[in-house]
Amino acid sequence: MAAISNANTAVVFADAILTELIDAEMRFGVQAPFLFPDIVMQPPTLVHTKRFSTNVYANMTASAAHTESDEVASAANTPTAVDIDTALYAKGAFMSDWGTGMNVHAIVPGTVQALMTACYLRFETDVLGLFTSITGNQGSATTTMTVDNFVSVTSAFRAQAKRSSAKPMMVLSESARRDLQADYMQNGGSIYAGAIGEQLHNAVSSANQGEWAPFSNYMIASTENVPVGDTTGKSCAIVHVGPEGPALVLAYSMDPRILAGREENRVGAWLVASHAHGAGIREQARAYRFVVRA
Amino acid sequence: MQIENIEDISLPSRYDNPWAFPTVAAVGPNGEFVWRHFNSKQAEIGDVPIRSMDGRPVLSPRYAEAGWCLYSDVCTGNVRGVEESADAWTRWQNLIKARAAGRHPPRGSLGEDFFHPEVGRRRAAAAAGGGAGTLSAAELRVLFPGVEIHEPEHAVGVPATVRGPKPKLEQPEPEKAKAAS
Repeated sequence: MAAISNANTAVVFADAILTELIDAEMRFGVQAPFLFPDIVMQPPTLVHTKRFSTNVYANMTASAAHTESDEVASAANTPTAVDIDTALYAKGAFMSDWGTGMNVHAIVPGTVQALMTACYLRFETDVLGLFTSITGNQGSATTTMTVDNFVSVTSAFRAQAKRSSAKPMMVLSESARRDLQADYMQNGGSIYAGAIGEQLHNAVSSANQGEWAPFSNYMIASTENVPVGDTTGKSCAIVHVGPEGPALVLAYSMDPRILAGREENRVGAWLVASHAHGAGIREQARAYRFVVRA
Repeated sequence: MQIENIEDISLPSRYDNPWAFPTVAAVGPNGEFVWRHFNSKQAEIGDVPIRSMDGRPVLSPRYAEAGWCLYSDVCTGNVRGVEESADAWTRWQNLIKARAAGRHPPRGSLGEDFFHPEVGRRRAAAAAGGGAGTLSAAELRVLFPGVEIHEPEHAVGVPATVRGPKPKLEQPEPEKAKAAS
């Protein structure tokens, strides 16, 4: 824009125009939704110990024929302890008074949210990372997730012979969800015609990651945060949940918290998020890993 | 806006690269291949084949008894009846290094021969009905003398690690088993 002047050019005003308007809404980058709260058991926070220990009892053999006058033999009922250690984690941000005060954004609550999200990302990373330690598994980096593969995987999971009243949770990679959707769409005539097709359509057609939907009595959701499987594939998994027999445990010995502490010699304050937790596999027979192509 | 005055906020959208931690793999009796990224803070993570003892990765006793072996033992010839393969070990180490650096091989670019041949042998044996707990042909001959034993398509029986306890039935050396047949 030209400078503004009067007829005699006696007074000249230089440009005084702001060149940008910063959006006052605070936005964060996109992120895969967290699935961990839905697939782990979270016991009450540990007190005076950093180890969560859970016991698994072996099954006894069937009762034996007995003669009334005989003494009944005693069978040992000894549990195997499964230990999950917790450890301390922290993430901090220093907020200078001047920078915070000058910011057009609500930077303090925004940073609190970012710090808490970083804690949740640690839980998500650790819980999904357990998939590489699940021993029961099938598939490879070249396996395509199809309806047939779904049947194969769920049959193998079922063969592990554990009972649960809750629907098992199936965590798919995005590639697995893509291939499963492609399979029923290509075979739409045969699969989609039946009720099963409609159910599958609902289960894998969710618009967003992290949405749970039932298919064939499994709760299905997808995330890109599943770990690597085989050499170049993705590790997906089925796990039991619920109070009867969860496969995975996320134990806390210190709940996530954010505390602020002033540091006057730097003219500002620290916001520090901290928590102590451990994620572990409680019972291998309640989890099953299947590897698919990426 | 003075955003530079705020320190150390990592992008929440960024997923940690677990391969940057020391990574240890183990092979199961049926050719299962599991690995664990060792975040040094975590000593125990439940019912898993690989655990940490004083910072050193070891097999859980229960898994060692069932025929699990650390992949390092498999590749370095530390497992009875299994030949060492420095190449397989280097391949695995190179994969870890590449992934730790944020690189990854393209989809489906690495075949089954990426692993030590023992992994494939165990998988083939399991697929042929001869996985964990099955008796080898040589053991069958001892148990059922005089009965004709049909050689399975794949060699069966699982060697025990040097660190694990000895199996109850003596595992014959592959050469002896071959000679006996």
